Amino acid sequence: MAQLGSRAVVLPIQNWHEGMYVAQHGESDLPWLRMAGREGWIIVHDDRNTLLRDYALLAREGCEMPGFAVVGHAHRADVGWIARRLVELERRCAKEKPGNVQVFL
Amino acid sequence: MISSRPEALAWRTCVRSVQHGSLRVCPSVLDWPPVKTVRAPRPTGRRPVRFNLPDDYDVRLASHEAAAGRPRNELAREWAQERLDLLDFPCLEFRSNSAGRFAVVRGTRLAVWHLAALARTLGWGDDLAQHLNILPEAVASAEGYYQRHRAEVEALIAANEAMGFDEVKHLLCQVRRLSEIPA
Repeated sequence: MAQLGSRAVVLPIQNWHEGMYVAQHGESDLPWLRMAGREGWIIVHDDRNTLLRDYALLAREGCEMPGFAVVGHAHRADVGWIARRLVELERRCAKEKPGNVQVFL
Repeated sequence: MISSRPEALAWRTCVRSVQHGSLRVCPSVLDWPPVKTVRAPRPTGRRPVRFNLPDDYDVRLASHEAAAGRPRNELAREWAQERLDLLDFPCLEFRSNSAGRFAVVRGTRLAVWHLAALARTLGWGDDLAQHLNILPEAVASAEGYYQRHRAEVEALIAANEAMGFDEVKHLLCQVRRLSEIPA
């Protein structure tokens, strides 16, 4: 998860709300996606087949969306590469609303 | 499975007539739902489990059946398999989303297929546990599940990797490549 602006915040999802939000909703990703949208987060992940389908469902609801940044499978274990691309993402998208940030890193 | 009841014998006769190219169907044959009297051969090695539920549980199962749009035998089989897997891999749980139902590390949304994809680079072990900031026991549970359900997990990895930029663009039309955004 990342928030952009003058100073980016990067937060592992297990630390978000002390991990309680993700742990609590054992049946669906939609509740925490809605919360991430309300709080203005961008979700950084490599889950294109399952998470993005829920994301598309959320778009149909018309509520506030979180952004997302997709990590290619060639770099999914490369933390340094992901960090450099997030710096670049902040440079290019700092003025955009989080929900409008929908990128492939 | 064909029983020896008279109507089932008639059904068997009807099937034989079809095989010989001369189907003659009497009205009483039309009344049977074939699905009730003729079943597909049971896969080798599977034995049926029969049990009765108390009335209130039966009502609840009927409502799940209606909500899921699936027969109760399928639901019961899925639940039993999940429960048995959880006894063997206690660090996992099952979660549903719009794409299906998946084994994930308990209390997270880290799916086993995702760990298996990362394990191709990091291996199943402490490196993977450190990378994801989870317990080595959780990685061991995920590895055990992967070994038992390898085909299912590999299919999920393949499905994820098949979702390239163009496929995601079809799903979410605003998506861009980072390099396309002006600096």
